[in-house]
Amino acid sequence: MKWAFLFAAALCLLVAVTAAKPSKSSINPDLINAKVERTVDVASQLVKISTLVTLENGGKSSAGSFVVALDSSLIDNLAFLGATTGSGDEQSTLSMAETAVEGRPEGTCYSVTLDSALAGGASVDVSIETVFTHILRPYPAKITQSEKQFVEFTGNAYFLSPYTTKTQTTKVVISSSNVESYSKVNPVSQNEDIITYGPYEDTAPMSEAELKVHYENNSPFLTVTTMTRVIEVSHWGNIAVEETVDVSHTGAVLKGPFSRYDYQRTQDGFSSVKSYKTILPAAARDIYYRDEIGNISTSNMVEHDDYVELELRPRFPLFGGWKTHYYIGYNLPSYEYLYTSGDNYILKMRFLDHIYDNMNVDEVVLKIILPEGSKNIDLVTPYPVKRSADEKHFTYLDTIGRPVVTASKNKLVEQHIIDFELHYSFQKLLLLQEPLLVVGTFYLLFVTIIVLVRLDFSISKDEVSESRMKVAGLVEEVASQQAKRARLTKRYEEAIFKYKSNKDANAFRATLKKIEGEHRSATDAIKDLIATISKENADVADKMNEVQKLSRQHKELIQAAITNAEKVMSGKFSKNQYVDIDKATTAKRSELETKIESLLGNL
Amino acid sequence: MKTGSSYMPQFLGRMSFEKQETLLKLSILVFCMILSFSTRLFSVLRFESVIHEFDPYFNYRTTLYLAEKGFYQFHNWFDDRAWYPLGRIIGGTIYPGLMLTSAVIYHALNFLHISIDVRNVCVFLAPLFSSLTTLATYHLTKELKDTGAGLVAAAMISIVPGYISRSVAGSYDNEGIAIFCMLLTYALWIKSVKTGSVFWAALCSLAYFYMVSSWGGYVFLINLIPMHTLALMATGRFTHRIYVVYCTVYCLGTILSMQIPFVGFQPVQSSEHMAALGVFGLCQIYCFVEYLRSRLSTQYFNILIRSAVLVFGAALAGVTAYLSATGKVSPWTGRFYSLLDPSYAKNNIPIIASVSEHQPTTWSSFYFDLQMHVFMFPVGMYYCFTKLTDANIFIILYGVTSLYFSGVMVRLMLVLAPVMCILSGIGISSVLSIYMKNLDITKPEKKSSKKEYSDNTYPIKNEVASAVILLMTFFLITYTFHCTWVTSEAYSSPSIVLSARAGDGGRIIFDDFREAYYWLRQNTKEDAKVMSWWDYGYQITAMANRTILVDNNTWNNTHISRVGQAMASPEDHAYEIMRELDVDYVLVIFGGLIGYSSDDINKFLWMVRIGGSTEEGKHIKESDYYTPHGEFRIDRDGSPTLLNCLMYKMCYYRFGRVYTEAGKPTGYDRVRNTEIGNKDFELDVLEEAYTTEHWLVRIYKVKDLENRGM
Amino acid sequence: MSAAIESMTRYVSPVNPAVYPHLTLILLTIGIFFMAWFLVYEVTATKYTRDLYKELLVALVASLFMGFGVLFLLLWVGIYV
Repeated sequence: MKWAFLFAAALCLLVAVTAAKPSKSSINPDLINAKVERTVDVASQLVKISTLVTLENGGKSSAGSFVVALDSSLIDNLAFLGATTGSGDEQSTLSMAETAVEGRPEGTCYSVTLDSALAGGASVDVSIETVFTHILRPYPAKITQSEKQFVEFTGNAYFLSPYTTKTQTTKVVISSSNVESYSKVNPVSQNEDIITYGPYEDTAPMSEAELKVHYENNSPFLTVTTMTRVIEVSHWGNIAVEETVDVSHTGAVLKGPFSRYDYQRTQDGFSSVKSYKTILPAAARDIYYRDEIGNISTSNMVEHDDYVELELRPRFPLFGGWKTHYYIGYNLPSYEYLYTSGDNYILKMRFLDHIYDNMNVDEVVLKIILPEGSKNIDLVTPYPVKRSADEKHFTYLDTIGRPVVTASKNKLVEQHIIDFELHYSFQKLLLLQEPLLVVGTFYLLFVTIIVLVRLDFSISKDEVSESRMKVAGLVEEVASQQAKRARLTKRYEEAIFKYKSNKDANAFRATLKKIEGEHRSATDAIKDLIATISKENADVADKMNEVQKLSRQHKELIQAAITNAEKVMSGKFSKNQYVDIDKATTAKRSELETKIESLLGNL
Repeated sequence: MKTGSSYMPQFLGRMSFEKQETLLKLSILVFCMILSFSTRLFSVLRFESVIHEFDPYFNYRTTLYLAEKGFYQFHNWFDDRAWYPLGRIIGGTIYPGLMLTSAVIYHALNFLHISIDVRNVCVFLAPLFSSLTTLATYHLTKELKDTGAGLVAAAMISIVPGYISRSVAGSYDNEGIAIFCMLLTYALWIKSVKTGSVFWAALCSLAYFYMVSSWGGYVFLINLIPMHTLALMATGRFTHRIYVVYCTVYCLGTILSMQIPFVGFQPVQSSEHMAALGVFGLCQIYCFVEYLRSRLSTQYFNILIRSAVLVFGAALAGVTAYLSATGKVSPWTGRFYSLLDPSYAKNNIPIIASVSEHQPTTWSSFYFDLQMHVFMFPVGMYYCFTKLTDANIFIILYGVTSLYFSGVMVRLMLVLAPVMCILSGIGISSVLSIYMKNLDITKPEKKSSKKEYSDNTYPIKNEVASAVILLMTFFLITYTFHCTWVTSEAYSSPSIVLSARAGDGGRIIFDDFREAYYWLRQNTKEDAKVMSWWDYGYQITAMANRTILVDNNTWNNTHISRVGQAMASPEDHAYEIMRELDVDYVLVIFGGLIGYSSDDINKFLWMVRIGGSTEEGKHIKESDYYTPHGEFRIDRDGSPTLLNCLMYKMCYYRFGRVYTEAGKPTGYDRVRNTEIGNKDFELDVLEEAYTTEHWLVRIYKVKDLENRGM
Repeated sequence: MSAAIESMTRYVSPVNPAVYPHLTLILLTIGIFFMAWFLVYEVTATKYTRDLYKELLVALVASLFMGFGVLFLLLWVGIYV
């Protein structure tokens, strides 16, 4: 058993080691770059190189993959690398993996697997896209408010490839026609904001020539140094997103004073950033934009059909070297991003969202807070991220804490705005836990009150007030019994009325008997109560007896009313006679009722 | 009380009178509490949940520290962010009650997993405590008069503007909880005076302890209670009950109050507390004398008394003189003097006089803050006098003294407001209950038959009663409207965010203060020292998190004076002072562009006065800053000293080129309504570091010394 | 990969968020009514008139309505628990 365990552990270790080390590739000498068209876009703060390579297999045997090499000086700044073939609808992304090539530094070569192996003599068009951050160097590094920002780009005039390149051209797209200098690797020409290098014929593998362009670039050099994106899922139908963002201006640093007068009158400060646009999902609601010291009141929101555009204006314009910090949050309805089947759920959202155009994010920490009691959590991301240990988050109505999934990644650009999937399971019944918790709390509170009012810390008993309380309780019971009798009186009246209209003597008798019984029991109950009262307070008992006496008279009047009714029905009375008598008894009765009420009310 | 069981639900119909009263009382009190909470939320709804003004920012910052670091570290906190280079020992120089209260609430809520941050606890603390105040007021008034008066007083205090001014949401200041503590102490004091029980007296001293821990105004309390005792003695109402409760409250309360580091030994040393001690002694003597009187014959007794008074009087005078001379008994502090003599502070201590809330109250502000109480207060007083009891004497004393003090200092309106509510609550309730009885509410058709017997005391009784009640109703309704209007218009502006009406009817928000503070927070060195006038000190430390030289805790006059000197000096001299104080940035508030009148130029004369009040600033004379005609002008005719001092230059740097108003020349100051006198100048030792969007806050960086040999 | 997203349905809340305000008001009104009843009963009843079962029953009903009312109040104001 023990041995088996050790063996398994060793195997795991082995697997881990092999996984960590990239596979080795040898360079296929038959492959040739027949034609290379490269566009180096340095108009923004990013360096976006897209290369269109026509790959030709000059040998006999087919080749399933080829190697893409990157400049070793740029490798630390690589944010994105991708290869596609075909165009339009048929475009497909090729899978790639890091590989080690003899004579090249580690991490600079990637092996790209083609969709279908390239047969001898055939050729295929491959488009390679790379994005680098923090490569453009502001030069001069410090400028005053009114100066324009110049940057320097250093790169390779040739397409770096382990294969021979037959013919290649490189277009450098810059942001303005104002160029200080650029390296002359002939043939080279400048046309407005495009500098064209090449065509160069038959370049040897791995040949390099320095390409340097020093030009004006006033596009915003904004870097998000850290960003924390918190997604909180609630099964009550909401997904709350909050992003905490640290932004700094990483262009040329402002030298000397900042003059508000010049900034307002002459609109200088070319490289400064006054505001930028963030795009949020169309369903975003309750959007807020604030920082540690409160709401930032300067923002505009425009709602479009399929997105919400938010114009964020930091509290102050950002000049070179200045930074700011804010957070922005919004709610999304769960049906947009949460899928379910039984107890299984999938959350499908973007790993990071758009912050501003040509964004450059140094680090993203993604935290997903799932409902309390979620299990079997599995995060699937479109690109490798660093997953930290799960944490617990405690907030409203939590008992065991909500699981928090944390993942982070460095160096991100727009190409990284892709959905991740988070699989988890959650029992639907657990949704009831929260309301029941509140109910329980309330109940506990009420029970505490019940217990508290029952506690009695008094050392000596106050006989007088005790007895008064006792009597008051008994009187209340008498009152409720009396109320019952009053209700019974109503029923007597109803019965008489009914009897008069339908003349059903038997039914009348039966009803009377029933009411009679109830009335008697009420009267008996009052009698018992009075007996108890008389032990405590004779005075009150007397009054109660008075009530009983009046009630008895009252009862007699009712009895009389019944007899009268029967008499008139059997014809012993005339109608008019009956009406007169009835009127008199009713008046007497109501008088008695008032008396009883006032007796009880004055206690 | 069988109120027609036919049209009411069964259970209500069976409700006894007692139950109905309880329900009514409970619901009125709950409504008062909700009302007093919600009427204070104007600013949160209109702006946001934000801390207001100046002092609350300090309280907020200390609360944050307490909540994060715990009580022990808070107690030992030496704050190096303020009063550079002196620093400030926070733990020993504040009343910690407020911070402790919020920290306890914060931790309790978070323990229950109710995620609320410290800021929101602080913002909503004052409204919470004012709803508790309504409860305390109810109990106090109930003890004084009856339940009806209590309910009226509770309803009154829930919306009285004089109290709201210091307790709106976000106004996170000591007063917010102190008024509650004060009324609680009073309620318990009255309760103990009535019962004479040690239990209530002990509770009263606990409430007093809470009061001491939260506000310096406790001095009023510790003078009022002895005064009450003294008055009872004088009116011959002094009994063993009073003796027991006063001794308990005084001894326990004093010992407890000495546990607050900031109070320390003051209760036995400073003259402000001497009255309490004196009355305590007097109680003992009084009882002893009563004892002797019951044992001795009149003749012997008189001889004994006469000689004893002589000996003790002489000894007491000697001891007092000795202690005052050696400084064991601290002299009367300036703030207290200005209580007794309104002109004292103005003549002697500029720093006290410069604070607007220390100014005497104007007549209009009494009406503004109290409205109908101004009329109903004497009515309540009258009813108290008609039925004089031990408790009523207390409320009369409280009313009279606080009326006097609030006339001296506008800030003390806060102490007056509750007693006004209580007394007019008593007044209104008495008037209403008297005339309600006279009201003939029987049905019109029966009226004719009953008329003769109801009108037997005086003619048109019913009409008079209706008129009085209608008048009262009218008063109460206007009171409600007035309170709401005052709260919404005058007391609900956070003053950190300003707002104005735009031409098109919309609202413009000036968020320049936070813009500047946040710029400081983000874009200056962590240890940068910022010099500004002391008003903004608390805000800068709290929001910008930077070190400042002087702040709103004006404990060191020389240091403030030094800053005043720097502001009032010409550039070269100011530079020396700034180098001496190690200043990195200077911050000024300038309202000339948008017309914000409480800016630094308008406060400038105080800087000059305070700057010139010390030995080092002797050369700064107020008269130098006036024109020969004695006017304070910033235009071309202004005094050259003013036009070349640092403050002027910092405010108006490059302002001379700005068009502010149509049809006016450049550099037209919209607060002073003049064109500025000195337009074209450069700064030699400073450079503009940041100016906010509406020029409200201007920050300058102090340049380094130039390299030698350049 | 336990299940494919295609086979799943979109998740909606068991209670439509649009009715949270109405639910809150109705439940809290009933809850406060019962709570008031309970409190008045507790304050006014003496030890000779108290009925434990009645108290517990009223308390239970009050806490049920208050509990759910408070929950929906939280949801209404945007605290999604």
